[in-house]
Amino acid sequence: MDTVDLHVWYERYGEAVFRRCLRIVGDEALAMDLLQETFLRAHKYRASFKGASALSWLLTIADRTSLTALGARPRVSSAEEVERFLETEADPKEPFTQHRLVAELLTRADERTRAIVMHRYFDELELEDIARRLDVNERTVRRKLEQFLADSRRFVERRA
Amino acid sequence: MKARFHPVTDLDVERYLVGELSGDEAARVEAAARASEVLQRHLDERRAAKRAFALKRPPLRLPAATRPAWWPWALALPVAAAALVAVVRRAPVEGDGPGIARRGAEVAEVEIAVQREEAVFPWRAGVILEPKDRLRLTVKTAAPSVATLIGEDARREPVILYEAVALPGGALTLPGSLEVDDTPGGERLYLFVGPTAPDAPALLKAVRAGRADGALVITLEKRRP
Repeated sequence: MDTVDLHVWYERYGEAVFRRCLRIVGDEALAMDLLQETFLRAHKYRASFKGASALSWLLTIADRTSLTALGARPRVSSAEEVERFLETEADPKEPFTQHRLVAELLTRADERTRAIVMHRYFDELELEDIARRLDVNERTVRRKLEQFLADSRRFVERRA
Repeated sequence: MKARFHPVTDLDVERYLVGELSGDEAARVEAAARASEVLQRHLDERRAAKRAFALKRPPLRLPAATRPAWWPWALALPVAAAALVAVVRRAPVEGDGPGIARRGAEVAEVEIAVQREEAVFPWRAGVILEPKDRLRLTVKTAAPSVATLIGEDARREPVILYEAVALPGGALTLPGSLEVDDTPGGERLYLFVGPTAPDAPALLKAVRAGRADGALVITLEKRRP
């Protein structure tokens, strides 16, 4: 892949990457900036791309870049919002919608947890698929998700 | 929780829209859309969003192939706060406030945010930069214009850091950031703003010759090793 390819990718995948950044940070101007950051990183690490899906690779970079940016901002979600999220999370009929909140809860999580939670709540993948993509076993995926929710509960308790 | 368009996932939808799915996978999404008005509406909205984005997306700015050793591009963490700046050769207009630099009211105003590890703070006169500090520049212009930024280290060797960046008018934070290295001596930035893209080699030549007329000049101090 060379620079010309990245420009082509920008036209083809730019909007999807922008949307991802926007769902994470909730700020259009910042998301546009993060879109550029994502492609700059892609340019820097382009030699490492070996996957079948350029979009998935770019979204992974966008996640890292955006979560770092979000972590530098003051937390805006309230304990009540997190509490509501935790209540609905257990309901198998509830659709994934609380993206900004999930991202905020993720900013202090480790790299592996971030990847798993992003695949689950943003990409909407099943646990089995996440495990396959990240080359870990399904039990690890389940445990990391449970840990993420437990940490979120602790956040509510601390606020209370 | 479950996927909004179960069994089609959000990633399926996005990959479908950019043409990354195989024929079978794409057919599965299309069949699901025929069976689900909500999914069909979502696809329509996403396609409309892509069309709208194509009209407003800024040009992609990738680093030049060669870069100065002392002033490498970095992939910066975006900084939430913005703040400010200074000019050396041309004194700021009085009343601009600390850190605000202007090169003529009609031209440009520059702000610099410094990221030092987890902290972000405004650059202003007297701030001593540390190696690995990251600087992020925001350029404000009254009208659409084009900016080129040239950096010059203590050895007085200028290099282009940003070339012909389109400024829409208003504030634009330049993509990426600049990382301060540990070489001794201060750094100098020359910002050229005009209605059209300037001749970059000519600007380099002018800076090298000490004739950067019309540039906003920002001098940065670094900690002595």
